[in-house]
Amino acid sequence: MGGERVKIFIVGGGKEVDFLVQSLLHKKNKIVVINNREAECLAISHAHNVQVLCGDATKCFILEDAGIKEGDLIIALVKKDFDNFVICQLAKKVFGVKRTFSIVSNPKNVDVFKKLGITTVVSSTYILASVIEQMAAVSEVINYLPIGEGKLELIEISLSNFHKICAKKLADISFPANCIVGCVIRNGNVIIPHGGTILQSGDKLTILASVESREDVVKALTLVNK
Amino acid sequence: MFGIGNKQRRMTRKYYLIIGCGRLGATLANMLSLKGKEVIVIDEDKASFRKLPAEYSGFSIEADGTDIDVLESAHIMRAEYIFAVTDNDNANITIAHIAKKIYDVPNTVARIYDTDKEVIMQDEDITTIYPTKLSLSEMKKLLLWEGKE
Repeated sequence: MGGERVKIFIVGGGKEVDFLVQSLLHKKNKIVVINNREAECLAISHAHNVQVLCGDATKCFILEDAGIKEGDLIIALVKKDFDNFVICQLAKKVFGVKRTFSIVSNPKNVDVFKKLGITTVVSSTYILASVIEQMAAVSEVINYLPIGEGKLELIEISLSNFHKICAKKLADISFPANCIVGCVIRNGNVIIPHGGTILQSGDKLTILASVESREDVVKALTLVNK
Repeated sequence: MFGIGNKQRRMTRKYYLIIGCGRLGATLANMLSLKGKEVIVIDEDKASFRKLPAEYSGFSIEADGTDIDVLESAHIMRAEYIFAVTDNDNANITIAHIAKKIYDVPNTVARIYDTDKEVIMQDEDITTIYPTKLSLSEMKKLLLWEGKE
């Protein structure tokens, strides 16, 4: 599967298309964009060196004009799930495109569309939900205790795989000023950490920080992967 | 989650589902209801139900007929017939595919205007009605009679 140029068709979408085109072009793929809104078409063609066709991709003649017969992959990103379905089906059954991708707004349609023969189906709601879950998991695990006449704060945080600082050496983590990692509780044992201590999932960190730097500390601690 | 037709369910299939209460949908619904069938009409716009005459005795649901939760609440697993007759070809195509391939509705019918989309309706055991084709064949009949005038 090395280095073959793939011809990709992207249909619809808003701002995501810009990002997609950029990242796909990077890999030297051939990209054709089909969009029904003239303003968006102009914006995309000005920003990127790609072919842009303005039209309704649920119409056979538009897909044909776009040269879909040589397509390897079609990515359907229009608003209505049923429009994405038809775009993928036309590409597959009329024009022989082997791989079809559709975004769906109703998460139930992920299973439905897969059963109906669309190669890959993604629900934006599912992705959002898992990001929220990640964030909730992260924010639940912080405890605060004010000490030192209200000038200091003891911040306790339990690490999980989500946290960026997990699996890092303490010396490699850029903590904000005015804070220090006092101790690490790991499997019931208290560790007084040094620069070479590598943080693990499940570790409970106790951090001493000035009240003013609490926000920065929490931000630095709760950076998540991805 | 999906209603898979097993023997027992097939034997008790009785609903007639009509998705889209336009002129066609409303007329169909009323006709079936007058014949004593159990009819459920679904349309996103409740104003469309005004097309149903007073004697219509079936159900009407104001909802999105392309949503499988809506279809399930309209008993699609026990539907004998489903008519996808919204004003949108793409919605009708999707509804018909869902009805046939996921719920195995014995008689799945869709009204499609764009004849170019024929290929995706073929070999799916879905009955597709193309008004353009029907109109053309009626007009052809008229043209053949013209010579006899």
